[in-house]
Amino acid sequence: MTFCLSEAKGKEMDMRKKLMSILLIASMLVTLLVVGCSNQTTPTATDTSTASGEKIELTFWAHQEAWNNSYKKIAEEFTQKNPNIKINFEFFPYDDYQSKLQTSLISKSGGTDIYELWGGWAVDFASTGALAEIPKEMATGILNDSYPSTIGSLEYDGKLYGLPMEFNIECGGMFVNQKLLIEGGFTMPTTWDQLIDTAKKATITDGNEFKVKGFDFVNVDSVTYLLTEMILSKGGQYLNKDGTVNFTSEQAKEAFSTLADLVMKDKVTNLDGLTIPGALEGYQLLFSDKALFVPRGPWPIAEGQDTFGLTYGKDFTYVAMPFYGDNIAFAAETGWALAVDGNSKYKDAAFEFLKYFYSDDVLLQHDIYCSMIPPKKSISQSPELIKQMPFAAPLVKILDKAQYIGNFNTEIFKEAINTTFVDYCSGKYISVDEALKKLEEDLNSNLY
Amino acid sequence: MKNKKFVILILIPVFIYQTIFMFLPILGNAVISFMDYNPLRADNVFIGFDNYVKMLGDSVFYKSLINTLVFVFVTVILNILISLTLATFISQLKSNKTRSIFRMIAFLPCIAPIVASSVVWLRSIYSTNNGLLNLIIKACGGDSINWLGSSNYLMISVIIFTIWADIGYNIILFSAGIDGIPNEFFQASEIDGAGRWRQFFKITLPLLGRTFAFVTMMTLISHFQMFAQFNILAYKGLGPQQSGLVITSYIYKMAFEHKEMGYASAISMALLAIILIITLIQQRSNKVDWEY
Repeated sequence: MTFCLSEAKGKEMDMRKKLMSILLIASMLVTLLVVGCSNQTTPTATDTSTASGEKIELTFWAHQEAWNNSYKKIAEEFTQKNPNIKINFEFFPYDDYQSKLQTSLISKSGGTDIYELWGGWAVDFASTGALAEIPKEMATGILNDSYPSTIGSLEYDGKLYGLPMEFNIECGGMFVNQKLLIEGGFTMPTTWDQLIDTAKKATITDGNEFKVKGFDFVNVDSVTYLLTEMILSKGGQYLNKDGTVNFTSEQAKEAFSTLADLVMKDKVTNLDGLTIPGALEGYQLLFSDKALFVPRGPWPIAEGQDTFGLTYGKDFTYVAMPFYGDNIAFAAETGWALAVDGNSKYKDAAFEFLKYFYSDDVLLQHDIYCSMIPPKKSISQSPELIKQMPFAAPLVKILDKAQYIGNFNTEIFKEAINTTFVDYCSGKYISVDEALKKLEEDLNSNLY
Repeated sequence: MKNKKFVILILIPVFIYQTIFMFLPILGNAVISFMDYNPLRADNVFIGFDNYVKMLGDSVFYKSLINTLVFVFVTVILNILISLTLATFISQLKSNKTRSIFRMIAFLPCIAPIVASSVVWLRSIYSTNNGLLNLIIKACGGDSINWLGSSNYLMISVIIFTIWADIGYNIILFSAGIDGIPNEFFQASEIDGAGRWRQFFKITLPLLGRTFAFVTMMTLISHFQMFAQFNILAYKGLGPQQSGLVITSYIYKMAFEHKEMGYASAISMALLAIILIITLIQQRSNKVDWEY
């Protein structure tokens, strides 16, 4: 009897276990099905058509920055003139933005209608159909009125795939810490030799640490821009006619040695800006009274005023930086631009917005708000611009001296130069010749 | 017979899951490795073994391989030594509550997201100017060290961080293994006059064989695939003189920065092969065939 009862209980337990297992497996299958069949795409545009007319909502992606307020203002003004088109914004942290944008352009759905796009990234996308071609009429106007470097990366096969918002200039100007300049009894340098001489006198170290860097050019952009400017201003050229690079010319060797000596012999800065992740940028050190001269574009001025609470003109200034050689010549890459997704359902509406954005008054106000130099020849010398952005005065004079940096992925270009520079300064190469030969070989095999 | 059918029925969804999320992606990866593949392009060309030939001649790949092997072997050995030692000490504690508290403390770094932990170490511990380590060194009269900006120290810094972030898990596993050893063995050995060290080497270690094999294998596999801390602690995932470049970072760089997904896939197949070979070797050498 007991044996029959325990056998029955055992069977009951077996049944319960089987039932539990079946339920667990079934729930797993259902979850798999739901996940597999769910619509992963984020609608890029909403058609909220009404009986009176088609209402369109466009989505605009950009990275988080103080100038997002300018986008919103322009969008509101555009909507007032075009009530059937509304623009919704999504802003992302800068560090995430490139991968977000890239992923969305790779997938044929799940993106947005309008992208804020860095020119250097556009090189990879312009040739693939991921971006919509700018309508011919609009493109002709842009091509005729833009400086070559502002549209270089946005062009492919004679067509334009983006609308430049700025002239990205990282040469010709530098930040100066007024307090350190005055306290040190220094005068503003007007030649390269004066600049380096003052920088050496202003540098203060304590063991391995820098208390004040005299001339901090070591960052992801400035090494490349200084190197190319130094080559070009000495009458040399780093770009061959066939698009390959040449870094073994005499001008290149001289320029590279000079820059390396600033770190190794003159010790006006160190390699932290290219070796320590998250290290403060040179301009941030300058805003913290830890650097005297920092070559950069004017775009960090807003950060100095808003984040560091400094007064432009009193705590820091932005002045013309002396060129290394006798010629005024430098390289510039395509900066921030706007582009329309090739798969957007509302390209026409998106281009209407871009056309409005590119109009002289709107673009000028946007560039003033963002402390950017305009990409359009027709407004770059505007008296209103100089009045609102006096620091732009030395830069707008030299815009026509710029050459487009080259039609390649500038991230790879800069990384190769920065790596070679750091490696040379760290003693990896015996000579400048060896370092530059390796750089040239690496770039010519990896750039295209 | 009925049970067999039931077991097969239960396992089918698991196999489907494994096929969809593991085997098919690996197969897809293998196919891409034979192509010049850019996901943005409509046409991608089959190029045979060109990516593998390129890899065999790529000095940067070899650099990343050496860095990876150094990182994995040093970290795994130290990880196992430290976690086993700590697990043994914790197991000696009399009170259950105290043992639980110490295990919890040891496990805490494991539950923190590794990216967040890396950033904290980057900014607060390894910082050259105001980092905790350099503050201690300067207080002792020394000169500050460039932990992340020097090729001599970068790998050491990443290893120290990884050990801190990872030993908790192995401490728990070893603790469970030690707790599973019947007490009679230790009592018998005490009667025979064995001291603590002898007990450890003659009883604890041998009887932890299965746990040891499992921990070693899992730690090896996970360390070969580590990426987050290198991406954060090494500048641009490279570090000075590429001293922080590991295979996973190189795969990421090639795939998402250089857009050479075919080549990146070939490197990832190489990583798969390396992990497979090392795991097989480790499995054979750690064969445990007796039980208690």
